[in-house]
Amino acid sequence: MARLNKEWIQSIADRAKTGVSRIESVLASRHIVPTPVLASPRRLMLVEIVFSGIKDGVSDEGPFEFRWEGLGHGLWAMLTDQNLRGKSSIMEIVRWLIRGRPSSNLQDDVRRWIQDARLRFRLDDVEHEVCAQTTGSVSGSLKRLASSGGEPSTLAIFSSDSEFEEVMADFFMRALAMEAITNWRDSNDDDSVGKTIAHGWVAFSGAMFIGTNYDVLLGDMPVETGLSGRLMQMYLGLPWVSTLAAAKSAQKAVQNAADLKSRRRTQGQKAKQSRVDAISADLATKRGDLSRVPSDKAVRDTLAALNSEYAEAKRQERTMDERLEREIAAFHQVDSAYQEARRDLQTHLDSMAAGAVFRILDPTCCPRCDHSIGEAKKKQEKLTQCCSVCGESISTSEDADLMKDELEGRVKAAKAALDKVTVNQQDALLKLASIQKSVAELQDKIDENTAKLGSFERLQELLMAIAVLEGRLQEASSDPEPNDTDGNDDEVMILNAIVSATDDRVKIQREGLLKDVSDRLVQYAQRFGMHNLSEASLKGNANLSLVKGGVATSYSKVTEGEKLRLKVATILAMIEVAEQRGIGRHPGLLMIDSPASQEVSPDDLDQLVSGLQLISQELPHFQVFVAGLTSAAITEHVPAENRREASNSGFLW
Amino acid sequence: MFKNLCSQEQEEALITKRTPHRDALRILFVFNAGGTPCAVPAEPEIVSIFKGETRLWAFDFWMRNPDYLAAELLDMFEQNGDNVYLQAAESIFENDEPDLRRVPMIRYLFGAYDRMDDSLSLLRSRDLIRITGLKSNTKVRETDFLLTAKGKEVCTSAVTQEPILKWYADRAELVARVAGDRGGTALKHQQYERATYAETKYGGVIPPITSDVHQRLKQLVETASEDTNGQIE
Repeated sequence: MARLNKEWIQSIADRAKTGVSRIESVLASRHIVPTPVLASPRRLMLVEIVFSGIKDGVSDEGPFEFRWEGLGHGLWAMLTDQNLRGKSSIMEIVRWLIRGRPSSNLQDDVRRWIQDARLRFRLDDVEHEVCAQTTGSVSGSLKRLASSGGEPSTLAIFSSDSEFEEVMADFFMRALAMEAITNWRDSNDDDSVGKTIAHGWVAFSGAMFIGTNYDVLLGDMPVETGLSGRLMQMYLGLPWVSTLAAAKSAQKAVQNAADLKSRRRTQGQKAKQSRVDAISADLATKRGDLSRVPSDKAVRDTLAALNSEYAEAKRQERTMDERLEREIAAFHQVDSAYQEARRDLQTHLDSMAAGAVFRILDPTCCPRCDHSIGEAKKKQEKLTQCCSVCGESISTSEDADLMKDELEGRVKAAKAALDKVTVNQQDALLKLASIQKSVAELQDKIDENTAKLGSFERLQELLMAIAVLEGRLQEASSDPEPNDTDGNDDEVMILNAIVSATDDRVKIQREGLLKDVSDRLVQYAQRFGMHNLSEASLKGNANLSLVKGGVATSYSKVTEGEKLRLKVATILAMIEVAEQRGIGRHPGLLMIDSPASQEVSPDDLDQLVSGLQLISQELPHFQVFVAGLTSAAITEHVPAENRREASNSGFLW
Repeated sequence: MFKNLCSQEQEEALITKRTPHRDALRILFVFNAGGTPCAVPAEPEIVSIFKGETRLWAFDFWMRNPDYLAAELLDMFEQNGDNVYLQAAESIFENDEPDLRRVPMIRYLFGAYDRMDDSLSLLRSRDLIRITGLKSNTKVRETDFLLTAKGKEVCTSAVTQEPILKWYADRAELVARVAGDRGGTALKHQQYERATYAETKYGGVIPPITSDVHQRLKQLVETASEDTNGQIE
């Protein structure tokens, strides 16, 4: 076994091209256990069925007890001449006690009536007994009976429905060396990955009971669960089957996780692309804006030149201002001189005129004493040209005209000077005005260009915005998780290798096995009256292809009666083939409910029961119970001691 | 134009310059224009009397300071709205009189003052005027100036002989109109009041007020022309 395990792991390592230790770590983390060899099949046989309670609400109200002891291998039957007389309930109660959980087919009133139920069964050669007190909640125990008649040993006790189910599942799964079937269930939601579901004893035990629903070939789990194939492989007892199931389940989980990641990644890529597009559009806009902004240098150069011109103009303005000040000062000075000259001239002219007036006015008296001036003094004055009053010389100055000329010359010169400085002042004023005008114009130009400088700040803003956008674009375009899938790729690869290595091992044995089962199945079906069935091919997924009357068909297309016979034939074929090869898992117990209640003709039933009768003699470990309406077909083939019957509309219990 | 360009030195030069005949004639025109006709039985040559030296100084101040006279003319125009005064003031400025005709005076006590002795002597020696007055004991209470017929005749003949002197005759008439019947003390107070505003600048010399008056004149002319336009409309 250790060698088989080693070979298996090495085979995986070779396929995955990875080290053994990595393989082992994946096996451990995914709970995949090698199952190269299975334990030998165990045989289950019912020995005693007992249940009791109190009926109410029916015609035969009151306490009751059903007791069916001394059961053994072979064909057994529960018969009534009318329906609803308790035969199905016996089967459901057995099922309840074996599974630890009642099926939905157990009628509610029956469940309520029953107070105690006990099932004694033999597992290989060891007898066990499960006892349950079922009033209200369930409690009870599972015991192993000593072969020598000693005290039974209690294997487990239970005091609730769930404990009961747990105890029975645990017991039978161990006893039959079965492993839970792990199955992958996909999620309906895109954002989660689904989950692994473990199916246990409830599913397995279904292969021992054939109710009235023939939808699936094996067991009683709905088709949708996809469990038929697994159940079949498990019952066939193929090695590696549970390993393969676990590996496939893990593979699917990882794959789904990877798919989800990939989906998310695709969404991420889309979001990223739209972000890249948005940034690119923004960037294009900004670059367009930038191209429309005038260049920085041109305006700065213009401004520098203007500033230089402005400085020069201001210097000229200062110079001209100073000159104007000088011209004004000169004007004032010259104007003052001019006015002075005019005033002097005026004064001189006035004085000359006044002097002329006084010259012809001779003094008549002394202004000091008022005495008249005598004729003698007047004559004397004319002779001596000395004043008749004071005696001073009275000769008239001849300078007056000369002075007049001089003063007139001064006025003229001053006027000329004034005209000149006036012209100079006007010139300076005009020049200053011109310079001031150009200063103002330069100032306007500088202001205008400085205003353009405002757009330089905008230019700087644009350049900055573009740099930021370029950075964002680069960041948005880069792949943030380039090696993200490496780990998963590795695990997916290893799981693929595990699945493939395991599948190889399963296939090697399964193909031959299925062929054998298919052949046996045809023989049994023919013995159950399906004489026109010439060929059957059971697939690994429990699909069954048929050739009936020379026409290819399949299980799902045949009649209900045929389905029943094929179901039974399949189980029998599996039991037989497994028995021969020593690998089967079916415990050899089969309970078939009310075959006649469906579209199964009495002939069909007759053929089925007669076939079962024969087969039960061939298969030493086979125990089969048939529940049905009393019919010749059954009574002929089932010995009276193997029958529990109720006649005249009576009840089985 | 009228910037009172004279420096203090120039002002002093103007004051000290000797122009006795011109000054004497100016005074004579003042006596002629500002005197009151009178008859003195003992002195039949006398035609009019000009009372008081203070009044003489007041007259002479206006004769020598055309800007101050113009200010009085503007006051009178504002008082009675007679355009003659406004035009007279305008004429003063048009002829640059504040510059050309200005003869600065010293402020003494509470009015303009100048020594008149030389001028009066010139007039007296030709018997153009006679000087009299009211005396109480030894103190002269008032000096009056009597214009002789000869003096009055000179006023007429001088203008004929020397037309340039007509300005003095006309100006004396204008000053007399401005002064009216008022006595010397009243006139002195009026002049002093106006002169005080500008006084601080020039110390002893009564400063010109040309610019202020010219400015006021221009405003009044504008207002007057607006009024006229308003009436036409």
